[in-house]
Amino acid sequence: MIRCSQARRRILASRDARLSLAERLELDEHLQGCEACRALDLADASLDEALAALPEPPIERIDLDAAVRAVRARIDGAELERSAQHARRARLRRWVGWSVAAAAVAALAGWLILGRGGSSTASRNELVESVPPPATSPVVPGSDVELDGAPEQPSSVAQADIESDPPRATRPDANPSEIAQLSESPAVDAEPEEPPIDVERHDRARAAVREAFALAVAARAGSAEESDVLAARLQTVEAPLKDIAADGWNVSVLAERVLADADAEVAGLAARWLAQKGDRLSINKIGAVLTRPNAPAALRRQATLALLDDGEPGIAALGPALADAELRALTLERLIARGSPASVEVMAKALAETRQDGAAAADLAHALARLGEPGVDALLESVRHGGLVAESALSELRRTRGAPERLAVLLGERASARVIDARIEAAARLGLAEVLPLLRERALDRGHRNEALAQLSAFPSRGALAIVLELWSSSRFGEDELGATARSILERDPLEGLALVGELEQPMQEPTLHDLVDLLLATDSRSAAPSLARLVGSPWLPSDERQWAAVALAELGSAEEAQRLAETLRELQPEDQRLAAACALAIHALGGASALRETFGPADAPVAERLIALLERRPSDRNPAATISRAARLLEPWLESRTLARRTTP
Amino acid sequence: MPRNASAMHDALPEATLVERARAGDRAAFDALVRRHFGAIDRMLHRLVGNAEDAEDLAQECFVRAHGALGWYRSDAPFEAWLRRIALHLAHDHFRSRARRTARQTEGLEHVPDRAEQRPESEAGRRELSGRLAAAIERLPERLRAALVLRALEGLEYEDVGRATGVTPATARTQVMQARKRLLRALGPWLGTRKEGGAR
Repeated sequence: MIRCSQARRRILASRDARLSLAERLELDEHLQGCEACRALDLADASLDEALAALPEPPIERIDLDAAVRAVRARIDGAELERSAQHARRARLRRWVGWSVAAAAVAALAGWLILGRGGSSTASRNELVESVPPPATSPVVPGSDVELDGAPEQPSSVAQADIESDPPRATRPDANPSEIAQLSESPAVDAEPEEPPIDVERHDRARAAVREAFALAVAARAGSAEESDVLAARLQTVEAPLKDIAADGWNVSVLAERVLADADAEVAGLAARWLAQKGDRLSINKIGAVLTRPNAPAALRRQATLALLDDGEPGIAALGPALADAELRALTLERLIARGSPASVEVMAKALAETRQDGAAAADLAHALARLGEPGVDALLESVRHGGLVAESALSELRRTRGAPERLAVLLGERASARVIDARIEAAARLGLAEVLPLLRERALDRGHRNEALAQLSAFPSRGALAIVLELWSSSRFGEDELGATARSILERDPLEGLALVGELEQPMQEPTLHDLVDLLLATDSRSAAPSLARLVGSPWLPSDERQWAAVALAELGSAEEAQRLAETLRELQPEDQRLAAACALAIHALGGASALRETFGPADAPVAERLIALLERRPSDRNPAATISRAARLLEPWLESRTLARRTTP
Repeated sequence: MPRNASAMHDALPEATLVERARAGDRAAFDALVRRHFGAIDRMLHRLVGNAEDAEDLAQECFVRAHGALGWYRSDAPFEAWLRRIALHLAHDHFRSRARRTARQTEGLEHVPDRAEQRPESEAGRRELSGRLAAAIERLPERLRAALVLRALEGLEYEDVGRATGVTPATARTQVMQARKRLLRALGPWLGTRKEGGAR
């Protein structure tokens, strides 16, 4: 059998013929046994009749022709007004146009009279001088990445070529005939004077560069300090590389080839040497070492250190090092020590990319939190990525002193929609009270409604239920969606309902308390029971509203609420006899006969026994209203005697 | 306009009239006014509670509609579109009225408990009608609009939602809440709740 609260909804829904046959039959069965719901059903039917009987507005009074004339006159009037506005605007535009033209003519005249002379010639000359001379073509016939260290070419040209798309010409292993073939291509025809590339010489230069690094590694310095060893090696390598450069080779480009060397120490030294140079292309090459599959750990470490030593340009390429468990701690320590914007950026980016790696996310979030305000901002923005990233960021934000305050300030600042979403999500997850008005606004906006209701459902602090109640009172939501939101809030913290009742128990809040009763009933959840129990005892609600709450408690409450109802019952006045009966009914439903006996105590045991006999003879769910009427009559003398006793007892 | 021309326009399908009105045919727009003015006026009368304001707002509704015909999308009924404009106007009207006059402070729940006043007699029915009309007028604006459109104008929830700018489910909830408030307010006259005590 359905409960009274379900029956009540079905009664209202039945006016729209929305009930299935089974639902209708269940409702009919309930109505046969429940006088209260039957009364509500009759009243609702009466309301329907009353609505149907409302007098129609007298439309026959309307003279349609007159209405058409009136509308036409207004339209004509509005069009006239629009035309006049257009004319005013056109006049204004013309006036502005003429003013601007006059000003321009005056300025031109002034310039002709006063400023004309050598200055114009001078500026023309400056212009001519500022034009760069035509650049000679940097393209070497057949040159490509592999041959960029070739002599006769300026290094900038060589680097530009590294960025260019696929090598059109030779690989290092290309044979001279291939080179010659390319030299005859039309592109080459444009530069016939360029000399052919000597591949063998190029290979020798590459080998010499590699050898220079290898010798430097072999000439280990005596110091145990890694930095001293490195400094010594870098010094050792300088002289031979200078010689190779003096021969016209671009040593940097040739050194990049050494990054792929089988000997990790040699490759590592090349990375450190290249990082010292600090050019972007070299940095990219070093960064590529970190993403290379099967790169030896020693080389990865050296490449990481090289990038760290390089300064800001190198930091941006450290993402792969932050994803590497072996390199992360070293990298993070150095980045935190630096604390630059680039450090924050690369760490935030790495955090966003740690989708499945909980340890990496935790390390990165912790490191960001150590970077102060910029790190906190980055953590706040990371929350939008959800999952492990958000959890790690929130965990750090909770621990970081000043983070909530910072977020509260940021909530009031302008930002892009994406950043605002991230801040609101972070504030909602952290349970900041400042975000609640924003969540209310967003819930009223259809584009953000579901997200905002979900955030309210999961809001970890107090205050969300009050917002849901405001939304409920706005009548712009379906019962189910707000009922579900309130249920989630109360299931997490049943005391939030009690706190809200406490806040609302004051003058002028009665309609809001009414709405709260409805909202609590819409949750259809046991978690609403403590709040309903408090409302049963609330003197700010009318007696019949408290009765509804008491009867609902009989369905939703537990022994704890029975205790609370017993306290309420003992405080009631004789005129509240029906409310007292509803309380007794609920106490019996929740705690059985023993609970009722305890409520009345040994002194009033006969009253309790008569009530128990009544309630057990007439199960309350069959016809609660009739049971309440009988119980009320039974309780009336008891309530009067208690009231009298209270008055006479000093 | 000659009467026969007016009759000819009145016979045209609505979509044709709208198309012609968009193209600047005044007679077509007049025919649309003639066709829908009564319904819009009646709805506004129920919303704002007096004939003069309703007629004024209905005229303004058609003036606005004329100016915005270019925005009308023919996949929705023309009358629903007009209702939406009318609701906006009613909303503005309430706001300006609220500014002009102090809001009535009597709450719905403060209707005196006079269980003896049941609508068995004609006088009782008149009493109930008067109180019901007053109670409807005191409903919050959104609930009132939804109730008027659904219960008095007989619109489907889809159309109520379209006119009031909410989903059909929300429109249904609004109507249910309006009915609940009316039941609360009119309990003594409808014979409810004081009789029972459970839900």
